Amino acid sequence: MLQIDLFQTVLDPASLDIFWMELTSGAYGEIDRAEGLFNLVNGQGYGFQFIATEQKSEYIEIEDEACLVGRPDRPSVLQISGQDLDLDSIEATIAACALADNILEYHQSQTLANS
Amino acid sequence: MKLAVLSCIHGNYEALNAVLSDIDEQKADRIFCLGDLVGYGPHPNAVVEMIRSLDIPTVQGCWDEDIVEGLNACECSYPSLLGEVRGKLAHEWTDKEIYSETREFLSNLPLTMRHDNLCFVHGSPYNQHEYLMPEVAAFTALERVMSTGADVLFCGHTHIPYVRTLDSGSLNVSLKSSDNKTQPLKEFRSPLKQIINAGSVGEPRHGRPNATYVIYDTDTQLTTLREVEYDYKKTCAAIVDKGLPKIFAWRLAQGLEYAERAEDPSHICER
Repeated sequence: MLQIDLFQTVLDPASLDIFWMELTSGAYGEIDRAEGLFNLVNGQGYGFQFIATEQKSEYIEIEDEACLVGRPDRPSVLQISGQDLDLDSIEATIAACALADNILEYHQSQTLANS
Repeated sequence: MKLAVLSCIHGNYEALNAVLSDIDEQKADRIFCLGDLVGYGPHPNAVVEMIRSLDIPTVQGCWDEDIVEGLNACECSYPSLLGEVRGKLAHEWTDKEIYSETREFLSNLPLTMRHDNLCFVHGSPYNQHEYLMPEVAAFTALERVMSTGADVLFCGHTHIPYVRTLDSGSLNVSLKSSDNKTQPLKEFRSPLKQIINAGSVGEPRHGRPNATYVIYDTDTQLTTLREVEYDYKKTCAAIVDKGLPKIFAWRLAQGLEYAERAEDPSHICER
């Protein structure tokens, strides 16, 4: 099983959507199962799960307080089991989905201003 | 007269070759190209050379402009961080790859072309970067066609071919002057207009890797959307061989654009 630690990584939802579609469609190798705990820019955590035999993804929102200042310290991880997995490409793509500090601060300031 | 109109080749030489062969078979009298000759694909110079050697009238696409002028992003270019990273990688690669004569050719392309009552643009008459999505509001669509003075507007950029017929309509306008007096209502009448999107030769997004373009018969006003199979695996191999991101090859094989773009049909490009 391949495991990528995403602690304190905050992801752009539109980018994660693309990555997850590519991942579960076989762009980075043949996937049997993939599970992710992801932090998104709205401060919430989300659980993603894909099982190849069922050919569908399920998503749940993690019910805890949204992190609207700084980076969340809830666990965040991606686990994948499958064949011929391209770890380098997966890591590079996840990195491209992640928000830099200045972008995260901008979004959080907008969220707080609108709340 | 039978016109072939193609768009968005994006450095995919194999796809262009297959489309040109199909155009021969369809016995088209003239070919027009709506730009985006380069970007994402592995053969930008060969594509430009082919278009230039065949003397195909071509307008400048958004990628052609970006390679000449440099990137100048509006939010419609990069609706996601991932799309932005991939777009910039592709731009950097293409910028290093192209010859100076290729760049010069792209820089001299016009933004619009006219042929009788037909107008040819890449995105919209206002901007190479603006998307005329099939579901854009009828008012906006009609205004864009009317702004050209033509009856039929050919565009590309969305990578999805479509024909949209705008029934004859009228537009009522009333202006309020600075002293708050309302001017008399003025009516503009428009006969039937059409927007014809040629799809994409080299970077389709219809779920299959096949190239698309259109044939338009000026005598019958009949439009035929053509979908052409080609050896896309050759292009995929070239993408990897030339050092472009492997994911571009995977997405091309699935009939997905190399990088996604905004879906909001109401968005007006701010470049």
